[in-house]
Amino acid sequence: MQVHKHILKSIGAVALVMLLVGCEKWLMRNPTDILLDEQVWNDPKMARSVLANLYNRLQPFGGFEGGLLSPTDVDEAMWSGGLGANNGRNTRVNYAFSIKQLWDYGLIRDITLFLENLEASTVMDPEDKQQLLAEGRFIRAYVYFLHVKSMGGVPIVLKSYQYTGPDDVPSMREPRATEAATYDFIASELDEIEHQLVQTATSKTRANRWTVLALKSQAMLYAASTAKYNGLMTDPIRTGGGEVGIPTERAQGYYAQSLAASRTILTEGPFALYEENPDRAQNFYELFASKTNNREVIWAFDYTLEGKYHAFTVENIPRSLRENASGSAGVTPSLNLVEAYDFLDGRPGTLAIRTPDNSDFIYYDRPEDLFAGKDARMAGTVITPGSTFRGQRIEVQAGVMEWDAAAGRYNTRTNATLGSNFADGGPLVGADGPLPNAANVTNTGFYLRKYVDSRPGSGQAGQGSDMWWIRFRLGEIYLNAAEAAFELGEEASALGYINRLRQRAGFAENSLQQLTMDKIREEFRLELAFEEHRYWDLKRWRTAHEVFDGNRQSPNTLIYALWPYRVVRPGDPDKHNKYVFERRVAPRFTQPRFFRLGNYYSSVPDNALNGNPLLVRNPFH
Amino acid sequence: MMNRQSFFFTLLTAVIFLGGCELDNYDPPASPLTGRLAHNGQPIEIRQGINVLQLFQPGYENVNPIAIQVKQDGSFSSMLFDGHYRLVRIGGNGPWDHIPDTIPVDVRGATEVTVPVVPYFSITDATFAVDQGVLTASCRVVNNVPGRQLESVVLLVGKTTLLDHIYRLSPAGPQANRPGAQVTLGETVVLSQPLTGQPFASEPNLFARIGVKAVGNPEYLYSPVWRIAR
Repeated sequence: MQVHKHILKSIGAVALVMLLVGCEKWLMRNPTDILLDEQVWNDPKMARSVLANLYNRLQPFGGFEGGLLSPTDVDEAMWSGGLGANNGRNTRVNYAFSIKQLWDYGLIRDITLFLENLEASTVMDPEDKQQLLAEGRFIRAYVYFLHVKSMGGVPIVLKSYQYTGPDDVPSMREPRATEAATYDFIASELDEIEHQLVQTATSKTRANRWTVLALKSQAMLYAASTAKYNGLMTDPIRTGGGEVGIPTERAQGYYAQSLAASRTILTEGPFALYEENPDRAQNFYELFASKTNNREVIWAFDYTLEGKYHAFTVENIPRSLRENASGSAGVTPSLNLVEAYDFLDGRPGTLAIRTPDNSDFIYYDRPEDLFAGKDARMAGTVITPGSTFRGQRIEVQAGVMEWDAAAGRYNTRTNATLGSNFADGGPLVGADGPLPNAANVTNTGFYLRKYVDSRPGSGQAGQGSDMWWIRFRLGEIYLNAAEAAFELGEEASALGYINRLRQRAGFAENSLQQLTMDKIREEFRLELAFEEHRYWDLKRWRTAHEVFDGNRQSPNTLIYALWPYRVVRPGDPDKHNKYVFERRVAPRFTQPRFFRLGNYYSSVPDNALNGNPLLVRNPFH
Repeated sequence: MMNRQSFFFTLLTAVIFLGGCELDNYDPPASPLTGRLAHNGQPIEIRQGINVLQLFQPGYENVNPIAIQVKQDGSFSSMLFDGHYRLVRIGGNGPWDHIPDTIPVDVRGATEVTVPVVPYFSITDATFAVDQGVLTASCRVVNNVPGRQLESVVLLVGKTTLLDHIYRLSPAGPQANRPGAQVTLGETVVLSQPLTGQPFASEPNLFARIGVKAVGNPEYLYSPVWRIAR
């Protein structure tokens, strides 16, 4: 018993000594799972991976991830996917004041820390350092642009704050800058870094001189049109301190800055409109799908199948092509958009579905004949009934119209089963719908083509698509240049830019002889559909409250559908087995869009207002 | 012995649970604040759900306002704690001139408040009648704010008493909408809507209301709702 105790004591003593002595080395080890500040900020590769994280956080709206339903906020599309919460996008009485709200000072702080740490680094090569600092500042300018277009002027925070105690808090408060000052900050930052981005000169995904100029072109255009058209409203939207509302007289200056940036890209840049495929519609689709040697793209958010892919195709692929047990047919384009594309011979795009005296349908041999001769961008953006995707014909047919000779009218026959046949053996409902109230079948009669991947397998949830999301492309720069030039009175120049774009879409050379602002706006709508522009464009032109005025009889407040039917009328060979079309309000879309004046600027979040008494609310909230 | 101890424990727990509630909880707000929007003392009617009034209670850390839901007849009610509040008319959301002054409201038990507004245009002498399936309505439109343009006067028909330019039946007939240029202010405006076509004919209950809209403001000002007797 005694011996036992001795042994225990000795073991205890040895363990104690080991514990105390051993500590020194054990605790001095560098952690294996955390990188230290000096490891990161002295190595350009490490600093670049911090930058990669920042680049990855720049898509709050639009894109393929959280904001992929954005087109259903405007007249481009509606939601035809699941009947759950997203269906609220088809039934909202008005836009919430918080829609498109952005107040991401977490991200801004991370950018600030990136810049501060890099600035403090002494070991890094000056060339690397200048490049990375300029990239960080580009990202910061872009983030402030995202904020100002949502919120108006926001606090411009250029240094990081460290919390040391409650007494410190008042000194950290920053009031909102004016809307004009926020745009001016963006412009001056971009001017300073324009020539500092040497290492990434040919990159399509990282900042370089051309992304800087493209952002300048867009941001200055937004500032200019916001200033001009806000001033033309019956009651211009302004706050006392200028947080919202740019003085009207600044518009000309902003237009000139935008035009200068656009022209530099057009004349000096290494870019060209994508014209690789003689099939104009397919060419317009490939503009977004082709990642190799694509000379139109200025800045894109890239994806790769090696770990970073997205589910945009899973959500939006036509029903008959879906490769996943759920999903498909989420964002479905509207007839409003399809009809907005003109015919190539100059006729307005309204589709001829009834005889001029409205007494009868117009009969087509095949559904696709209705769309013949349209602006090629339509077929490059939208999958219309009878067109082809992934080599397969997309069968869209709502039912049959059976002629009742006795009553002298058609009876509509339909069915809830996709791909079903009628009593005469011919097709009844197409494999791709449409159906009135089903999930994941188009409700409008159209499917989305732009940005939907044609590579088999990209519709599987486990694999996904690696299409890239284009933030800036040359086509947009042409439009920016056209709008700015037109506003500055250079109509001939503006006409040249617009006609160049229309030529790519299949129109003859110089298809327009004169230009109006409405025409330019229409080109924005058609060229940039589904690219997260429409909502912001309507805002900056101050027409959103007129386009979405809540009136059911206004042309674009409701989402319209076009439903094809096959005619069963054996007694009349001119009409039997031909196709007719019915225009209707999409059945799942119930509430007209209503944009209130309070939607021109999103609400400042309550926690920000509570935390900082210097902030002022946006008007109408 | 053991039994008694656990019994006391149970009792103690129960007492703490039941007695503690009183300390943690407070009574729900019990003072009703009611009121209505009025122009020259006359009630005015709007679209239900527009955001026109906010209550602030100064002296607290948070500045979140209490939103007041105004019904379509212009009345509202909120259940509040007694205290001193400030009532704010949010500029620009209603079809009236913005008055930035706050209205101090002392809530002590049931309190009533009248919120004066000056609508751009108001409707007087609204009448409705149905004759041979055609609804005819008339009213006078008065301009209260000089310099404002009249955009239109409309006759709306809906299937519920909640009726505004969004919740209504369409298509409206050509005589149900009169552009501002064709309206003489102060004179009687006559609008009509046939009720024999679809979707009106198949609805068992129909209601009618006149709305007037000023250029530049998305909201309408309305007459009271009239139940259509067919």
